[in-house]
Amino acid sequence: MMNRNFKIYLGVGLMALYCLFPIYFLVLYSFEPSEAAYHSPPVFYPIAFTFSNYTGVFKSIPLARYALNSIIVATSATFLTLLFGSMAAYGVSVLKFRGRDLFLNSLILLGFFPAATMIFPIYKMFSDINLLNNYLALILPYTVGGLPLTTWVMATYFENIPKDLLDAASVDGLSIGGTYAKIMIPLSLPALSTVAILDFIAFWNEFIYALTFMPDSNMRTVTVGISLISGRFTYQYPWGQIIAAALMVTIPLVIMVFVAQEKIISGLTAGAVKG
Amino acid sequence: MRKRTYSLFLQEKIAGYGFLAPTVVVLAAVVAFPLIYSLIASFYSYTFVSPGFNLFVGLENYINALNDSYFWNSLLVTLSFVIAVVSIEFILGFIIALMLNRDIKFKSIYYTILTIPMLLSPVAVGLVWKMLLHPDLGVVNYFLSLFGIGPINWLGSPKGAFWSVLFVDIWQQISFMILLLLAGLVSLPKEPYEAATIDGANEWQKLFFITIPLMKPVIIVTLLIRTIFAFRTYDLIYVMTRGGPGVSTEVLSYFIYRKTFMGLNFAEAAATSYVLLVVVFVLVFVMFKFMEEEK
Repeated sequence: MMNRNFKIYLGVGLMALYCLFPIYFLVLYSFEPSEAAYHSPPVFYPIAFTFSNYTGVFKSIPLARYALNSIIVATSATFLTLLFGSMAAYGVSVLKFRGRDLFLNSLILLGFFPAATMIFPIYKMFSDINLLNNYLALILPYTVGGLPLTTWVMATYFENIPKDLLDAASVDGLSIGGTYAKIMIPLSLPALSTVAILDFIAFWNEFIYALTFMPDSNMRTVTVGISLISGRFTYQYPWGQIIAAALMVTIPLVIMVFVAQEKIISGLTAGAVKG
Repeated sequence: MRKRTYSLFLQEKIAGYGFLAPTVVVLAAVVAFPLIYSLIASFYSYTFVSPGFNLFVGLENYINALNDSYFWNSLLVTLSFVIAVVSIEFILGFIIALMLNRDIKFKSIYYTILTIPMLLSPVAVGLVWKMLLHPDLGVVNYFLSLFGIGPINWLGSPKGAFWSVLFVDIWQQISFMILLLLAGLVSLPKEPYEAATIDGANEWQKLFFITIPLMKPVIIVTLLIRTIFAFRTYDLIYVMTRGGPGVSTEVLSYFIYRKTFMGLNFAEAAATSYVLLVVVFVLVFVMFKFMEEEK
């Protein structure tokens, strides 16, 4: 018994170590001058502790502005994805139409389509209707990108809501819209919050659309901003600042996930298991 | 009475379509236009040097796309990448999820540790790993040298680059697999296990005859979701290798991107996208057939 427990702790411990060791170096290097990255042998513990990377980032790039852009884009896109996705999922469950599977399967098919193939046509369209450098230029494609999986998860979730409940609702005279707002949405909060968090993370970290559809330097998102930090000289790559910035923009996500941890697990349970 | 049910039915139908409308409209606006635009372009000689629909070339772009050996290379790279990451993540993830499903201490700390890689942006992850994998100055080679291994040229050799990207993708994405599988394990009923214990089944028998069969739906969903995301992998490749060295890590997303923006040949890139769409369609079709059989 002792032996087996030991093996489990060893396995889980090794996994945690694998996850943590790059994080350790991230945090370490964020508090060291950029030259630390070029030490041989590598630096393993703090030798020249400094906050200069954290303060320096704000001089190199307008990080606060980029964060604002990211917050606006990711929040709006998450909201729209959840709203439209849950509505579509409910529509599918109400209609029970023959094309139901076809509809959901084509959504999945869309999910597979690599973003890279859509970049140019979307760019062309947005530039024709003057939408580049507009928040909508990211909100719309993100929403579309998030919809397939969100709709699919919500549709499988709705399927498992007991039919008696819906019948009771219609006996009580609740309209279809009312059933959606007063029964389906409150009942599916765990699944919704899980999908919300996964969508938000994906939108927050998205790179290639954000790089292409927001050419104006004031409209960049944090992910693009960080990738474009560069030193004054090519040989002086500002590792410290890049890492400090990457850590700073991840903190909101860490807090969000930490707060919602229990919900995520239970949401996944309900959404995926019965799927 | 009959009239009333009929109108109710109609009302339901209208409301149902109403609920589908926003999704359909957004999809039509953002996806349909680009899809149709590139479909038309794929039959014309549309390059950035001479943009526009002036010269109809029929299937020429498709023939060129299929004759491009880089296309087949990137298809092969993508398939090996997807199969490798999904299967390694699944096996390793399942083992870890089984371990975490036991009565062990500090569970919530493990969850937190596991989720951190998932939260970092692939761009940041790629940059950091590039630093850690540096052949002369990187931490990874330093550790290996302590055991007399290396130095390994991680990102500079074709094989090394493929495995590095794989290894970093697993580092970042495995948590998602673990969490999904764990969510499934947690909600399994207890009774079959109790019965099996009474019948004297050992741990392996319980795993193969109870856990895995009961977990099948979760496993399929997990694999499907991960396959979709692995198929779309782009950022990590862009930051870590730009498809190189040579074309050893050139996944399809990157290949099409390169063809569009560096080859400046939008029409052929569009044709390639449509070939890809057919491949994906077959893949999804097979997968759903498989899922239906499981049900």
